[in-house]
Amino acid sequence: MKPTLRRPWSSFQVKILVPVVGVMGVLAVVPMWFASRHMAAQLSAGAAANATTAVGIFQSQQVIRANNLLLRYGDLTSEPRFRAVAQQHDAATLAFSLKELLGDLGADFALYTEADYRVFTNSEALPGPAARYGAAAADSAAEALRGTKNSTTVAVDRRIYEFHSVPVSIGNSVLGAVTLGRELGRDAVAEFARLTRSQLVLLADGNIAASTLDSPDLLAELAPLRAQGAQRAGALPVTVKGEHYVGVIGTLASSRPDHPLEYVLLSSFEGPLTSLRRSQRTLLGMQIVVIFVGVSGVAFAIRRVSRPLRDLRDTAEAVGHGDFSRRVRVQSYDECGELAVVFNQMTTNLLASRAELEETVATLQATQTQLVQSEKLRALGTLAGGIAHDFNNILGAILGFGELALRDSPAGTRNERSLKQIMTAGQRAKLLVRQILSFSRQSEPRLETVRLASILEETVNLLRATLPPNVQIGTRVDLSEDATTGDPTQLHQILVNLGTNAAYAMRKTGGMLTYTLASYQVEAGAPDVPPRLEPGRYLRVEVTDTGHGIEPAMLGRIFDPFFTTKPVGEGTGLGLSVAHGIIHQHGGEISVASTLGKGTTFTVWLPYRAPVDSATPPGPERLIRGVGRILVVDDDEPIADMLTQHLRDLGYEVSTREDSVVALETIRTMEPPFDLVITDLSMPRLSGLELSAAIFHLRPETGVIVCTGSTDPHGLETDLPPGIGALILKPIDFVELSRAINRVLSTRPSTTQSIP
Amino acid sequence: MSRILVIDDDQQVRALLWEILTDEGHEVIEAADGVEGMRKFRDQPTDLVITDLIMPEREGLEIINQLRREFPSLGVIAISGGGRVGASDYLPIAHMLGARKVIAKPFSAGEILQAVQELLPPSRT
Repeated sequence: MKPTLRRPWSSFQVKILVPVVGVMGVLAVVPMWFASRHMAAQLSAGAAANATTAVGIFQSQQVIRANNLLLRYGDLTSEPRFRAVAQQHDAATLAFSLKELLGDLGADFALYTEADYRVFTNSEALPGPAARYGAAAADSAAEALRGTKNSTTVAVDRRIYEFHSVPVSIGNSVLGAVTLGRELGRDAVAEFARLTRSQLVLLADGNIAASTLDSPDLLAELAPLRAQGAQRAGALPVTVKGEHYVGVIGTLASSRPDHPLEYVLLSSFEGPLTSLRRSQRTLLGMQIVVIFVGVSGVAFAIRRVSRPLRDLRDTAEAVGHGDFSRRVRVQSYDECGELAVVFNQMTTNLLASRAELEETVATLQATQTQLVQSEKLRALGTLAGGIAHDFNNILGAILGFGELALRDSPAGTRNERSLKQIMTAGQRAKLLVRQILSFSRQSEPRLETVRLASILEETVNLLRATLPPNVQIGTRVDLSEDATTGDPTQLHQILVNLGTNAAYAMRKTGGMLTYTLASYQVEAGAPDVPPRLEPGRYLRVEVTDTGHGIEPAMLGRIFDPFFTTKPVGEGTGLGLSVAHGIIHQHGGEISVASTLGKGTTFTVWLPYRAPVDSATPPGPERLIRGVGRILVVDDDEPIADMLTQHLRDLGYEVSTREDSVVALETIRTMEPPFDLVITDLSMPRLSGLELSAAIFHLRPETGVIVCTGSTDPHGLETDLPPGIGALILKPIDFVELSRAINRVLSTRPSTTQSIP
Repeated sequence: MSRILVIDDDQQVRALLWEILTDEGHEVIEAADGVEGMRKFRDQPTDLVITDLIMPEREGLEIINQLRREFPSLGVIAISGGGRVGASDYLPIAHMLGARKVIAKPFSAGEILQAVQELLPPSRT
């Protein structure tokens, strides 16, 4: 599965850089922004403070000046010279005097108002029509006529004039008032501006009367200040001709209440502001550089650090695709290095796990195959067993009636010949059924004393009847002591199997099949003897054929389960592997030698075991005698007595106990231990089963036979518990019992038989 | 002239035994199952009983058991088609239960006749 392609904006680097840049940007910009605002505010405040101070200065300056002027004017006009002129009431002289006054006093113009309100003036000096100015000065003059000197500020024709009026009096009577006018104009404001380093604008009725600033839009620019209305809260920022000022607006104190004249005082902070801006720009520039450098550094570091991660990613991808040989290079001792180490460990473990897994799977598959095969065989066996019974009935009818018919047929007739053939066919069928049954009998080996010679004879007889005519069969028996311990059925099965294999090998060409039975003494390290065999006396059976032989490559595998050279349906390949297993179980060995084109010889080694009763060959009808020490446990006294008697007849040494608990104690303490215990199943206190289990634990070398009168209520027939060698049903058949005793005695864990 | 009871659920087996035994001069009573067999035996006991082992519900074994208990001196021949039931054959069990002879199927006339000969009470040959 391909990993999804990384989108550029979601890469590791970007993920780190973006926040870093963001943070750095924020850290740079935000403080700067706050600082600049603060500083601008500081500048503005400073300017405002300046303005306020200037206002104070302005206002007090006005008052002081007015007072000074009034004083000076008062001094002057109280001179007798002027008084005398005033008494004359002559316009020309007055005009002349006023002109002189102007020269002395430095006012812009002068007016003389008589007590009857006639106004005389020096008209050349007036900036405009005398009447207008006379009217403008009237109030001030009137007040002076009343005896009070005063100053007012009035706007005339868009100009602002200060009128200072002083009474001229002789004694207590007022002759008239002199009004001196000075323009509050450009010079005045300029001087003020110079003094206070502020700008001053004088407004009369909404128009600019005098100003130290000459901006084309001055009125508009001052609008925010004028718009304050009556509140006059304080300094406000104002921009005039692009320059930043703080402005204060006020009313000339000396103006008439009904015609207020305004002044605007502007304090500039443009200069500092410009410096501030410049510094900010510089700082910003520096910060950008710093950010850039920082980001580059971070980017570089990230690349450095994330390289191991990229390596890891690549390696992980490779491992994910199955290449377990790749490892990550450990480049550092930090977390990335740890990760690399851990990852490598994981890969190694994966490799090992996978190998293990593969092995396990292989084993499982092999086991599964074997299991399936053995299940099939078992099913086959069950089937065969089921069929065999009915089949034998049918065969019985064929053979039986055939026999009768044969008896009634005259010799030499075709009838006789035909019936003989029918009988032969029936015999073959009988043998076949027996073979099938024998095969399906996956029995636990019943170990008993076996005479190989008689087994061999049975085998050969069987084969003779079934082998094709082109195969000859012969035997050679070279011994008299042919006893071993084992399962006769199984051994028989093996010998037959070897024979049929041999016959199969000779089926096309025909040939000779020979069974040889001989005694053999195995010495340590002897050649031609399978190394597995312990030294001792053995029975050796050789099965030789003159068939096509076995290829050397196959020889090694010939005992493998399911190995067969036969086509499908002709053989399961089981025979030899089963034979191998069985012979090993018997303590023997099987080997094969072959020459291509000449023939094959299978050799079976079985250890010689002296029979328990070598005098009389065992048979179903014969009692088997023996030696040994037997304990009989049965709460039924007559039964126990009878049993004891029979056993003593067979040659055994017998003791009895009627109580199973006492019996157990006896068994436990008896030295040397009993060879065999024969116990009834149902007894009070300790049952036969419990007793058997106890014996199995305490004295495993003591054999146990259990008797029962019922038809096997515990299902022991099918499943003998460990330790119980045999089950005998009552009424006891003593032949069977003697056989069972013989079998159990000869197959105890530590048998005392000696192998010569 | 002896009377022999033959118990087998297979008709052909019964027919065959009838032929063989009557040839030898014996009288043959037939029964198809254990219940019928016991009934006929109790009606009129025979000198010998030949019984199959594998009949429905292991009747054969029970018959042998029963007969041997009630008539300890009676000779019983057990015949069987073999086949595997459980871990061991029935024939040895039959032997344990008291069948004096056990003969595997398919049997020959000679086998049957020899066994009958051996088991018949001496006075009746």
